[in-house]
Amino acid sequence: MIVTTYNSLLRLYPARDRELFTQEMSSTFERSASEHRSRGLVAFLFFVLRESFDLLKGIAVAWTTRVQQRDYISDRTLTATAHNLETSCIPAEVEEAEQRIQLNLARMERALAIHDFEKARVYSDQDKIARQDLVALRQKHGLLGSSSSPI
Amino acid sequence: MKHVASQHVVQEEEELANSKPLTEPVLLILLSLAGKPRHGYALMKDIEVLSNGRVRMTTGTLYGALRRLLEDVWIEKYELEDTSREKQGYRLTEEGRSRLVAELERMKQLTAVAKARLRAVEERS
Repeated sequence: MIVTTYNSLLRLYPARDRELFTQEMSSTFERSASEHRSRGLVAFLFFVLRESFDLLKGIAVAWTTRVQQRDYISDRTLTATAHNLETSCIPAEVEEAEQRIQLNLARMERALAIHDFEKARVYSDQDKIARQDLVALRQKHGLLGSSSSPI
Repeated sequence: MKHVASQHVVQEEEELANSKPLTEPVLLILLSLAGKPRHGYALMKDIEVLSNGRVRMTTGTLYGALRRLLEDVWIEKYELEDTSREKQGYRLTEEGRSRLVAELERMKQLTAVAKARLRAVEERS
């Protein structure tokens, strides 16, 4: 029952986190619960309390991060992009590629702002790859030369 | 050309040396993966061993840290070959390994300075 409850709570994570980790988290929790059950009732209760509190905290952090990223990106550039996308019917995969570039840019700027140059370099490398992907996707959909996006 | 390349290496080393210290959960995860790729539960158990039972990560904390490490490309997903339950594991990337080495150098330097200072205080008293 405790595992079922835990699995239900896992659905509160944002979609992307759910895709990445739900199955693994469920499996890891189940093994951990089984181990703590064998240590006695008190140990098991402590385990359940700690895991529940941490899970709810993790969900709050995941949503906060997601909202911050979304706000940051839309404040900077995506507003114009979204408007153009609505009116020009750009394919979803091109839209996703443009959003990935915006996300990398936002992360790079944040990393530079806190002088984390190592992270900024990683995001810069990811940005190059993302831009190459975007060019390829635009070619595929015959969108090269389109001025729909500020990227 | 060689001069430019070596300048670049020195710059990278300086940037690594000046990066912020790692948090304990992150350090323990990187240390655990330095040995071999592991899946989530194995990571939790190994971290407990590495910390002499002091650090017992919850599932939420572990996967929160793994998510950030994946985003930073310090670790990557890796399919384990032959395990009874979980195939999805993680391993260090080159970036993650460099970061771990830099952190251990930083701690080594700090430990050496601390020992020297404590020795000096003891000798005075």
